[in-house]
Order: sequence, then C-alpha cells, then structure tokens
Amino acid sequence: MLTVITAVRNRLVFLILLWSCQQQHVEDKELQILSVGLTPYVGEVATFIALEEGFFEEEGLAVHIVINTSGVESMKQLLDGKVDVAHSSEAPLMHALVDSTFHPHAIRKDLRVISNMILSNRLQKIIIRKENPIINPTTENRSLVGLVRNSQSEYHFDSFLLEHQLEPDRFELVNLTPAEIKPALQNGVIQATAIWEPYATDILRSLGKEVVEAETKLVYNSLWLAVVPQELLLEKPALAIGYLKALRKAQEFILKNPSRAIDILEKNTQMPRDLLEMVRDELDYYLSLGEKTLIVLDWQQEWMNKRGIGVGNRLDPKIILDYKPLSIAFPQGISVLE
Amino acid sequence: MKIRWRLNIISLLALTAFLILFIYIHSITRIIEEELAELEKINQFEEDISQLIVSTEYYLSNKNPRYLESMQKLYDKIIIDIKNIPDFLQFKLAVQALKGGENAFYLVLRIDSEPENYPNIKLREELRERAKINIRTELRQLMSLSYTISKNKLQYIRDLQSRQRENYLMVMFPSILLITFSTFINGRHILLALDKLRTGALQMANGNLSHRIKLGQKDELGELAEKFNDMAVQLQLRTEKEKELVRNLEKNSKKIEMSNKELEQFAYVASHDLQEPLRMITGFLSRLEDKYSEKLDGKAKQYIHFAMDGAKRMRTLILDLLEFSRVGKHEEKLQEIELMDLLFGLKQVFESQLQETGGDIILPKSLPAIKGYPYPLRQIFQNLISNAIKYHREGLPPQVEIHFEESGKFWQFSVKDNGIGIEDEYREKIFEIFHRLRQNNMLKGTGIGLAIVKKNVAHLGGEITLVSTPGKGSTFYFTVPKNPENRSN
Repeated sequence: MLTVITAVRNRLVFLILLWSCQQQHVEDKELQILSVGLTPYVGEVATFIALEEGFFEEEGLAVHIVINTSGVESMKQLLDGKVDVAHSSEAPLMHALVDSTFHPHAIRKDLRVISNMILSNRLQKIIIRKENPIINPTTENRSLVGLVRNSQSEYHFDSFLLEHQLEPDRFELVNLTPAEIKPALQNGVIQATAIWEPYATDILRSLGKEVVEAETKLVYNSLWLAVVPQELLLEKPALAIGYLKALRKAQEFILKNPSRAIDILEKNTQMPRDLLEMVRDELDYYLSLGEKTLIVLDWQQEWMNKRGIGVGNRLDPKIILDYKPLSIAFPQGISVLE
Repeated sequence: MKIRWRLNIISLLALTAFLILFIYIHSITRIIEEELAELEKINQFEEDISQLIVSTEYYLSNKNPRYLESMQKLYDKIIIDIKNIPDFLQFKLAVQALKGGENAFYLVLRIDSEPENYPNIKLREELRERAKINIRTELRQLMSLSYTISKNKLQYIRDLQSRQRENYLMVMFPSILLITFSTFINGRHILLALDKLRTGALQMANGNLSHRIKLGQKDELGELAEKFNDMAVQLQLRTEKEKELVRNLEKNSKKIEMSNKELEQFAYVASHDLQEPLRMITGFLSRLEDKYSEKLDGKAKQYIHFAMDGAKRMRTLILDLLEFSRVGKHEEKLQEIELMDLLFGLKQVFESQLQETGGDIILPKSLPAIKGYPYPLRQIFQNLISNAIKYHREGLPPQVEIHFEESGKFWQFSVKDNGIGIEDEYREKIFEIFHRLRQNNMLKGTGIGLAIVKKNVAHLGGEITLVSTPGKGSTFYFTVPKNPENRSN
C-alpha cells in the first residue's frame, strides 16, 4: 500500500513539474510581430477587441496596427510591404491584383484572402443634398460626388446609378477621405456621397435636413477581408491561423459583451457612443469564406473590366482565397460548394 | 466481508453498469434521432433552395413566368426553413441572402414588366445583369450555407455517434473490467478457500483428525472452516475415547481370558489331584468294611455305606468336572464324520437303559457325512440323549427322536424327547454347571452334562436353543458350521 502511495505521489510531483515547465515555456515564448493596416470603423470592432483583450497575445502575436482612412490605403501599404495584413473590401484588393494604375507595386498576384470578417448588406449608403437631387437633375452641370476612389463605395454608387438609370457621365467622382466628405457635403462642394457606416449615419445625423439617404433596391454585400501576401502563409502559416483564432475569439466576445464592444469601438474610432449604438445592427462579425466571397470577387473583376480596368489580368477568384488558416481556426465559416 | 455481500455488490455493479448504459444509449439515441430529424429539415432546406435556383435561372434565361407562382411559395417556404437554423449568425446570413435575392429578383421582374420605366436599353440591360448577379450571389450563398449547415450537422451527428462509441467503451470497458476483476478475485478467493476445505476434508477422511483448516477470513467459508475444525475436535475426542474403550476392553478380555484359563487349569488340577485322596478314602472305607465287618454294628455299617456313597458321588463330580474342563482341549484333527455311524454307535451304548425303560431312539433314515471333530459331537449327542432318557416321565417309555437339516452355512440338529419338560424359568439355568432340574437324589447325574453340551457347541462355533413344554417333553436344537475351519471363536 505504501509503495502505491509513494508511486502516485512521485507521478503527481513529476506532472506538476512538467506542467510548470510548460507554463514557463509558454510565458517565455517570444511573440511574433504582425503589422496590420486597418480602418477605424464598425467593421473593425473585432480587431480592436482582440488588441484590447489580449487575444492576439494569447495566440502568440504582437499585433501592431496602422490606422488608415480606408481599405484602399491599407492595401497600398500592403503592396509597399509596410504591413503584413491589410483589412480592406474587395475593390482595393482587385485593384491591387489586376490594376497597374492603382499603385506602383500592383499588379501583385500573390495576395491571398484568408477570411471575410463581416456580414452586411447595409453598410454602404448613398447620401445626397436635398436642394440638388441628383436623380432628377435640373441643371446640365455635372454633379460632384465625393467618395473614396477604388473603394467599394465607388461600385455601390455605380449600382445606384444603374438602378436609377442615370448616365455615369453626368457625375464627377471626387476622391475624398471619409473625414473630408462631411464638410464637403455640408459646404455644397459635393452634391452626393457614397460612404460606409458609421460615417453615413454621422453625416445624416449631423447635416439633418440638408441631406437625405437615397433609396436603393440593389443590396450591396459588403466584404471586409483580411488580405496577406502568400509568402506569409508559406513561411509563417501559424501567424495567419493565430490571427484568425484571435479574431474569432473577439467575435464571440462581441456576442457576449456587446456593451464592452461599443466601449472599445468608441475608444478606437473617436465616434460618439450613441452613433455607434445606432449602427451596431447594420452588420455582424463572422469569419467566413463562401460562395458570396467568390462571386463578389469575380463580379468585381467583371465590373472593373467593363470600365477598362485590369483587362487581360482576369484571375480565378478561387486562387485568391486561401482556406487553410480558416479551416483550422474556424472551419464552420467555410461554405463553398464543392 | 461476507460472500453473499460480495456477490450482491458484483450483481449491483453489473446492474448499475447495465442501467447507466441503457440510459445513456437511450438518451444518446434520442439525441441522434432529434439531430437526424433536424438534418432532414436542413436537407429539405437545401432541396428548396435548389428548386428556387433552378426556377430562378429558368426565368432569368427565358423571362418565362411559368414558375413565378411556385417561386413565391418557395421563398415563403425557405423563410420557414431558415427559422430552423440553430446558429444565430448563420440564420442572419441566410435571412440577408434570401432578402437580398428576393429584392434583386423583384427588380428584375420590374425591369421586365415595366420596360418603359427603363428607356435606356443599355442601362436597362446592365441593371438587369447586375440584379442577376445579385440574385445568383445571394442564392449561391444560401446554397453554400445550407450545404455547410448540412455538412456541419452531419459531422456533428458523426461526432455524436463517435462519442457514443467512445463513451460506450469508457463506461462498458471499466465496468466489465471491474466486474470481471471482482468476479475473478472473489471466485479465486472462494476456490482457494474451497480447495483448503477439500484438502482438510481429505486429511480428516484419511484419519488425520489433528489437521486444522486455516482460512483466516470471516465470511461464510471462514465460518464453515471453523465448524469443520470444531467437528474435527469433537471427532478427535470421540476417537480417543473409543480407543481408550477398546484398550480397556482388550485389557479386560485378556484378564477374562487369563482368568478362564486359570479357572480351567484350576478345575483340571483340582479334579485330577482330588482323585487320589478320594481313592484313598474309598479304599480305606472298603478295607474298614471288609476287615471289621464283624466288629461293626449295623449303625456303623450304615455310616460307612453313606461315606462310601458320598465318596462315589464326589468321584463322579470330579470326573464330570474334569470332563468339563477338557472341553476344547482334545487335540483332534478335522475329519469326515459319518453321522449315521456315530448315532448308531450311541444307540448301542444306551441299549441297556432303553431295554430297562422300554424306550427307543429314533434316527433319521439317512444322514450325511459332515466335516467336523467327532469327540465333541459325540459328547453333545450322548449327553442330550442321556438326559432325554434320564428325565423321562414315570410310566412312559422314553422316546428320543433325532432330526437333521441344513440351515445356511450350518447343519442343524434336534434331539426331541417326551420327558418331563422344562419350566421356562429354568431354560437358561439348565446350561449352568452343576445345576440340576430336580434337586433330588432319585435322579442320577451331577448336573454338568448340559453345561458340557453348551460349551462344546459354542467351541465348535454353533448355538444351542431349547423348546420345551413342561409335562410333554423338550427339543434341543443345536447347530454346527459346515466348514469348521472358518468357525468363529
């Protein structure tokens, strides 16, 4: 009996020592640095939460964020090699992949989408000045529309024109940052804008009776993609997996702690809390790679080609998606017809 | 712990394991059935989306409104299907896709049904194309989503089944192991104890009553071993007592044997040595009578006569006593005896007495030759016949009948007379030495004849009995063994 007790005791001591050593090893493990280019808007709540709550550190990552005005900027930084990950919509990505005019380092065909991070079809909005309804123009002058060029807002505005059977030639697109749009619209420098949340609601709320949201039936499926160079996936696949795992944890955190999520978003976007609460239901946070992603990417190319952009550089959207990191981090998010 | 408790615990363990397993299988089967039912709904969802895609594509290609009504029904049905999606985000995704698709489809319908509102053909076609893209995007998203949900559900069911198998093994394997181990341990425990009990029983059966069974357990078998040991102690005590009794019996038998021998020796010596002084007494009394006959008066002669008579009777007694003591001492070889010759010879011996009394000895017509010792047999018949003649009824000639028959391993003889008979109270006493039936001097004899008969019959290994009716006669039955070599002492 004594022998048995001694043997059990020895094993327990050994296991405790082993566990202590492993804990020490984890604590001592050097964090892998990852720089991410992102845009401070509602679609980035998960990233901010992962930073604030230490989910990236839990996955062995030291994430440094680069705050940009839009996904276009983040994509250009990725092409410059200034960031490892770019958060952007499908439009800047496709420009980076097939449009040589987009940036000196475009066309870069080794960019890979490791996940879409949001679900929304009400993220983009068209806002027009009341005294100059662009749908029924009273003047022959071209209307000025302020938006972020090469972003999904541009495509959304194009769809809007189509829906209302308006000739694009009647409009001049002015490249503005989201921060520049509100004063430009307020001052009448531009007559309309296509902008995403929470800027859209902010403009509507701030300018009140001066502006109105244009009606549109054609829903726009917004993608907000995590884009990385293929090199990263080949050399450090664990980084991409860890990155997505941390984001997934943050997404679950949002569902469980919506109020705390708003706190973090408020802190990182400098937007009023009530505004953020108003737009909270416009989108959901869900890591996914699905048929929608493929079709949107494909159609984005088609649309660009029709406008004479990236002709001859057409890519199979299946090549652009890399399912491996998500298949490990969150396999439920993959919904592609095989 | 008592064996019955151990067996009860094992039974309880087995029953509990069975119950747990039954409840677990029942519950998990129910869960799987529920999941399968959900999977069926998801499959229905997939099928509905497929139908919607096919119908939509048909319309988009041909602008044929043939399936519009069924499409509306499908949209309504899919909305119900979507409500069964358990994951909230997937549910929202599906709702978004369905609504987006529906909106885009209605836009297409509006373009097709109200082309006048879209006068720019190029822009109209482009809008229709974009709406088509939207429809396809949303419906394919729905399709892939239903496929993913179905795949995940199927995987979940498989995981559940796998977990069921694992849990089944996790429950069953330790239970079976525990029950088997307990059964083995208890079985071994019982078998070892039984083996010790068996060995102990064999030892005791072989006479080793000092052997004790040591089980060192307090269960039923331990109690059995204790009782067994108690029984062995009792048996040992009883056996030792019996041995003591046998030893005492043997000691007493030897004493009796020695005493008998000494008595016989004494009788022989006494009877033999007493004859000489008796002869002197008789001799000198004869001389006194012869030489001083004239000087003695009648009274003195009468006294001498009494003394002479007493001396003669004493001599007879001594001779009889000598004869009694010699029973069994004759060194005679076993031989074939012609019974007819033997009895016929005896009849001649008693011839004068028979003539004197008018009696008769009736012999069987034929008698076999038997193996035996002639002297004691002759003495038995002679004494019985002599008594039969001697104790005849007055005025009635003695009739002695001798019979013979086989009786198992013995020859049985009978000597029947028509004499005075013997009272029941004397039936045993007549075989005692010096006992006479009638204590009067009218009858001759010393009273030792039947004692000699009994001693001879016993010595030959037989038995003697008597059947008698006072005033009518007696029949003596005696047996001798057919094989005297095997006679018991």
